[in-house]
Amino acid sequence: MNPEPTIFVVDDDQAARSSLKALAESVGYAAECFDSAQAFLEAYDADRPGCVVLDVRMRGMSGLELQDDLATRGVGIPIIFVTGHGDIPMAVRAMRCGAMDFIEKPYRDQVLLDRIQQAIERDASARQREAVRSSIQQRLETLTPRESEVLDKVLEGKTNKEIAADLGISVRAVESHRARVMERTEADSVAELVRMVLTVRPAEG
Amino acid sequence: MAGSEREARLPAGLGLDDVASLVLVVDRELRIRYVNSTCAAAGGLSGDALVGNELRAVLPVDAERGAVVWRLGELLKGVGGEWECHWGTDGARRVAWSAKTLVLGSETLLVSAGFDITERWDSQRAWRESEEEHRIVLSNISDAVFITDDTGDFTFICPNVDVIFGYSFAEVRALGNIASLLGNALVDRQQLDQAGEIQNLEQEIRDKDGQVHILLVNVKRVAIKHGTRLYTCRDVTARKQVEESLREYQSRLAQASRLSSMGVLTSGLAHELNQPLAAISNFSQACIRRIRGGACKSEELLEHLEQVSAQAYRAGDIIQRLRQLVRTHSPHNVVVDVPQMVREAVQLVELAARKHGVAIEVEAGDDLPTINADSTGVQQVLLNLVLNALDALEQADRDAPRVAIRVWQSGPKEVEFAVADNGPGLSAEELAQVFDPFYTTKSEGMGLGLAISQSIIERHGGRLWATPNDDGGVTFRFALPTARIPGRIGPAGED
Repeated sequence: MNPEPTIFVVDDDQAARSSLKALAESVGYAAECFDSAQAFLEAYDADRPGCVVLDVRMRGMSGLELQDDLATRGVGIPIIFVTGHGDIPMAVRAMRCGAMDFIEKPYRDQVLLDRIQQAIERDASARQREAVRSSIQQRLETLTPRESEVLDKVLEGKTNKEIAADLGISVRAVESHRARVMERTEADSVAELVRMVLTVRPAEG
Repeated sequence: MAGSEREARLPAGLGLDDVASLVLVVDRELRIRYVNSTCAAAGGLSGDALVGNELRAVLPVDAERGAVVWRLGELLKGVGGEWECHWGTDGARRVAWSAKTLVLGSETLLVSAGFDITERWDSQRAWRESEEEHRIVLSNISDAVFITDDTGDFTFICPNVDVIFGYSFAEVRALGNIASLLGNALVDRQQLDQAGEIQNLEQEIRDKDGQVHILLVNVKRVAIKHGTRLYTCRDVTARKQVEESLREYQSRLAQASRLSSMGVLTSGLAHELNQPLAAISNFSQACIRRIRGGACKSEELLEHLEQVSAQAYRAGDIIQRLRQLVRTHSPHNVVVDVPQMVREAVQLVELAARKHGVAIEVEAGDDLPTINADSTGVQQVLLNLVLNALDALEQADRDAPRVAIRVWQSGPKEVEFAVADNGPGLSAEELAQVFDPFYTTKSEGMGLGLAISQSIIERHGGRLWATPNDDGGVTFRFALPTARIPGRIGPAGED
């Protein structure tokens, strides 16, 4: 995983591409250019953080189609649209599909740079959340089936005695499983254990 | 009551049997009291059979009989007069009578002397029937027909005159002169005399209610009694209105399509101009930030500034081309030698073609008719088409790339130009859009070349179109009208 965020500029206009790259680099970002949506899709590794600055109108696959394609693939990198001449339906569609912004040329460079900054932060925190989530997920997956059962009962708020009765095992055995759960999930308390499980299974309830 | 005692018995031999006139005597009750032999013979009857009978029973059964009986009753009240009737068993004879009342004792008799007018009657009837025919025809066509003399005074007015003019027949007759319906100075007398007929004069008139009608008037020289001019007036108001609304609709359609192409144009223009402007803004901001940050290398700045300059030119170029596109004034057209013009255009692109390794074939015979055209404009179109073809061939990277320019006489008054390449070709979708402003399939293109070419050709009254080739490439074609006064006529130019 590359920790450095990159600005991926996708535009079929050479001058637009290189000027955006120059602008991004002038404030210290790394930038990479792609002359078509296809070229970007072929080259992009979803693990690379940053944001996409995307032209709406391009020959071949359009910016909006690229946005759809990324969404279908489950790639959540933020997208900032820039357009020489956009219209409202285009902007509405882009924003509804989760675009960071829809900026019309000519734009103030500071506006674009601010949005790039926000996009990178949003991407970083999304990636951070994802990292935590997947780490918890990994830890939960190390539990044995019996330990998982005990975890579920704990989350239901049952006492060790009740759990022992439900599962038909001794209270001592429950205590032992429970200790293993705390150890494997690296949770300091039951409260933290609940929070961790909710991070992974937010829809439960 | 035939033979009543009180009645005077008129002697059978009144001495009138041999006269040429028919003699008929009836009494107050319209009973026949006497007929002479001429009268009986005319009806194919015998005098004895007639006398004593009621006249009503003797008159042929026709629509007129009632009126005749009534007329005789009236005559009996006075001193006499004229009357007419059909006569004879089959009513085949027509008799005109001159009657006198004769008081004989207590009796009043009507003595009528008649002439057989059958022949005259028949010929009059034929005339009346044809008259009636004409009247029915004229009343039922929607055209109004008049005959006037050379001063415009009516000698004939059609009965349906009210349909167009609103005035009744009698009102028009009272108006007297056609000028009161159609206005003065409709007909140029000299022209009418020379041509014998003037057709489709369009005249706006007001009818009796003040309503405006548009008439198509035909005037023809005739000689019918005093009439010398036959006017036929057709009301084309409704047709004109339909034409008018059609024209209006078409002009609105044209305007809508102009507006929509304006929309396409401005949308494309905004996009095209914003590209270099945004690039300029980005590059210069990058320079500013680097200079402010103090960590700039001059090569880097130079590179950015060169881009700024190039993009500014690009924006200027777009505006320049746009001005060419919207230029509407017609450039100076001259009589153009087609092969010469094509050769000149090819010379300009030959170098570029050689560089790309593309062969340019030209087929433009010296026998082509001249065209009336803006030579520079047409050359610009040819150049544009050839350069497009070269670009397409470069992208295709195929063996034996070639561009073929062919010019031939495609019609009696038309010369067609074709520029064909054997490149990758265009999809149907691309073909449909190639003439749209700012549409391009080239990475460096602006998408104005073909739009400008199209407008140049349209200015010449021609059109530019594209068709796919069998071998995969595209042929762009345009046709231009030949010069009206040929500078030189070759064998193919004779028509």
